[in-house]
Amino acid sequence: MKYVFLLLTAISIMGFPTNSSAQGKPKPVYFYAWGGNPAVNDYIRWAAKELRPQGIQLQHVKVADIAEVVKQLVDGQSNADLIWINGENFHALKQADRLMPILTELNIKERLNDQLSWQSDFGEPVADLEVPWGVGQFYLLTCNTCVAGDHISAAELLEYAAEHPGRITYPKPPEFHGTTFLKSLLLSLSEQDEAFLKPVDAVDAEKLTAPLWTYLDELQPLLWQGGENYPSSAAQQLNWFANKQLDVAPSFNPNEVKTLVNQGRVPAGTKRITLGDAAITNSHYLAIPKSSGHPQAAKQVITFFLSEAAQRKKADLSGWGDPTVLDIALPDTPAMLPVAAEFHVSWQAYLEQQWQQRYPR
Amino acid sequence: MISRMVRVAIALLWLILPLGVVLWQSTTASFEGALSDAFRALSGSAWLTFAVTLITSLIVLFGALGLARGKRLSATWTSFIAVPHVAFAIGLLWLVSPSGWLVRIVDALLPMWQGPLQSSWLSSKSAFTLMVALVLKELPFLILMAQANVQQMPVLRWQQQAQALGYSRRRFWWLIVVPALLRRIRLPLYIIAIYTVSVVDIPLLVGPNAPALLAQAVFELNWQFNSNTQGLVHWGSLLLVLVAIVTLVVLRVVEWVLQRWLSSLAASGKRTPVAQTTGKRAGLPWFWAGLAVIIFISLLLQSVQQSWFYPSLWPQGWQWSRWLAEWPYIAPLLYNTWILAVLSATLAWLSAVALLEVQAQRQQHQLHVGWLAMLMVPQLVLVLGWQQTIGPDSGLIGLLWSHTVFCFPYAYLTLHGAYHAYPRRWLWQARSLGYGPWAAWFKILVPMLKRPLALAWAMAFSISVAQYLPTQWLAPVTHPTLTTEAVSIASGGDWRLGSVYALAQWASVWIVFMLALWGTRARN
Repeated sequence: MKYVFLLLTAISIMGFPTNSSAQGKPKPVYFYAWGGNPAVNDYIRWAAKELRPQGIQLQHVKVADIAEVVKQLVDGQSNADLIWINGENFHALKQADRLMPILTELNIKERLNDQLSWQSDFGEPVADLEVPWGVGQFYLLTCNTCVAGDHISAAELLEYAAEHPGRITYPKPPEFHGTTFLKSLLLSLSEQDEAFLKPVDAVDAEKLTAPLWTYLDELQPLLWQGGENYPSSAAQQLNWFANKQLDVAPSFNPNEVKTLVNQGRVPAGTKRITLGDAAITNSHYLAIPKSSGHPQAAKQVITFFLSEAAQRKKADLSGWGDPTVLDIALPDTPAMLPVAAEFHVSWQAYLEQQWQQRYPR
Repeated sequence: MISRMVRVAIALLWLILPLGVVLWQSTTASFEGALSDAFRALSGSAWLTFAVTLITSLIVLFGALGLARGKRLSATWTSFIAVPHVAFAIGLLWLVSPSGWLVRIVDALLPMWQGPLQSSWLSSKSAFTLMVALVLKELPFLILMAQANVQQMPVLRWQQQAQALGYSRRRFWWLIVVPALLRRIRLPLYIIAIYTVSVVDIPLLVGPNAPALLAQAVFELNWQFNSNTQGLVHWGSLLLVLVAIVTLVVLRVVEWVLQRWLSSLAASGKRTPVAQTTGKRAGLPWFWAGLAVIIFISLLLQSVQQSWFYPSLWPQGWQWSRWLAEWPYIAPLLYNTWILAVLSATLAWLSAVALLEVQAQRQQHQLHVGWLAMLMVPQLVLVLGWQQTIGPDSGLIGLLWSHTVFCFPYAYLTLHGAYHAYPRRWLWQARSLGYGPWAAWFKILVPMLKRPLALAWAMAFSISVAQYLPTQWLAPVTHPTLTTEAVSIASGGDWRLGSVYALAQWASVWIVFMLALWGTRARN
């Protein structure tokens, strides 16, 4: 028994920081956001520190996949005040009518960079329900001596894989880097067909995607581990790329080619290439669920995240390095990649299901 | 009367209530979608889970039967068993992955060879890597359990008889001791098997994903939001129970076959006249000591490196400030982890001691499977049922209760042998000298059993620290712990940061075990 008391005393002596504050209790904002990237997590920690004087306690709830929260929101059991979403997750929440209209009220529209076509999220009108936070562009990281040039077409990739079997792979769909890898191949194979901007039901999806499956059947045995296993995440693939087990790793952040070298995650001499002629480009957004217990505080957080200072800090290449959505100049950041429009949201589930039916699970 | 109330209360709290909730939940669960669809989607995972579990359990079983004969693992070894799985897996992965430390050493020694390894055997994600991690982690547990049981058998007397009849030591071990031992380690073996069927955090880090293990597949399906996946989740957890039952049946059959075969060998009367070697395996403890130390060093180096790319043997850059920078974020998690572990370990420990005392008074010395029931059901199925009843973020009470449910059977199992071996005449004598029942218990029994008592508490503590699924599904927002954070960071791929959290987790458990051992060391 005395050991129990000993331990209890030990804990109480350690004296952990308590959250008591002089200006009364800070309002908590439960921010559900993907927690798989330490640089992003560090940025949110910084934001939490900056927001504390405003009486807001920003709490990052790290999720492996934001779909987890979408499900809870649709089921009506979630304490989320603020969520980080785009694409199919936004689509599902919009359909279920779970999001609060905020964009007009926050009055930031005119400060946003309209060239980013943020008004449409995977072909779905934003409709006042979410605020753009940053920009994603899909491309591959590779080493200087691996792939030549600044882009690689689907056909060239297959050639490369045939010459270097086991050096190429992609995260397993439905991981979004993996699904976007498939989309990029589709664009490259179809020579930028505009049909992918339309819903799956509106076009002949089977015919449009047939070249992809033929292509993948050829590519699959040339992949890492003969296509019998896949990285679970882009981060995992990144580690293997950094340690010379693979020749490419996917990224959705055009500046990551710089930030990852700065962070010591990949060796110097890493460069970026687009898969196909252009990079699939989309925005990622912040939204407030209708069920939020602290909507006012959550709006304050969004206003802060969209401030010039916060956006500059977010684009800082020593940290996250996520491109800004504001119409401001950031001299040191690498140029954006050539833009390819994101597919309509319905393709996400379609491609994932088709892929899962064809390849090992 | 009181003894019955104690048993009923413990059974209600830690068995009937948690199981009842799940059963009630499963009657209301919607099994949408056809069974055939679910089977097609999950059968690959189910077969893989079955194969991994069976192979792991059999290797662990035969490993333990073979190795339990060797040098006795000291109590210090118990602390190795308590290395949290997640910390162990993170460290092991760095050691054996195709661009890991071992391969780098080979690369440095063989300049002709161009690494890194392309093999899929010890790849960072494969069924094989998963099995290596599980076997290395589970084997010491079963060896300890086996050795504890061998101690309770009159092995020496049997051995003298066998030697007089001309049996070699090895033959004696396999023909006489093993048949008796097999029955006694059945339960721990089943616990290992069920753990393997339903473990989620380790496969998330090192397991295959095409297909994934069944528990991991269901875990991931459970956060998809379209309606047909919910049916799939329910079918999946049903399938998980089925896999668990089939595995146990197969293990039982293996035991039966083994018993028959060994007894037919014994009946043949064959013996090797040559005196065998002593059978001491002094190397065994050293293997695990070495492994633990290397994994610890790996984690430590990882936690302070800035860049360390293949094929460097040593970090190319350092970042000592990482620990300081992370500390403000580790501290609240440490606090959460410790509060939860101390409370649930104490509850579990008190329940286990009360139950054992009641059983000892009634002279029920058998280890009853019923009390270990919660370890015989796949954890995922249980936690899923609780989550659907009390919601995805229910606060500390539900979480504490869920941890205690899993800590209690381990505390009971750990303490059972020592408690029932305790000669109770000491208590009677104390009573005859005028001590009250409580005084006798505290002044006579506790000092004599202080080490097993302390170790049982430490074991319960370590079980709580290592819990992933209950914490992740019942209170991820209000009560994140070191384990949930370590898994989240490690699956994000930053080993440096992941190692910091893994070490904090390991240290928590290690400190408690060291305190338990040091505080109860024998004087003179």
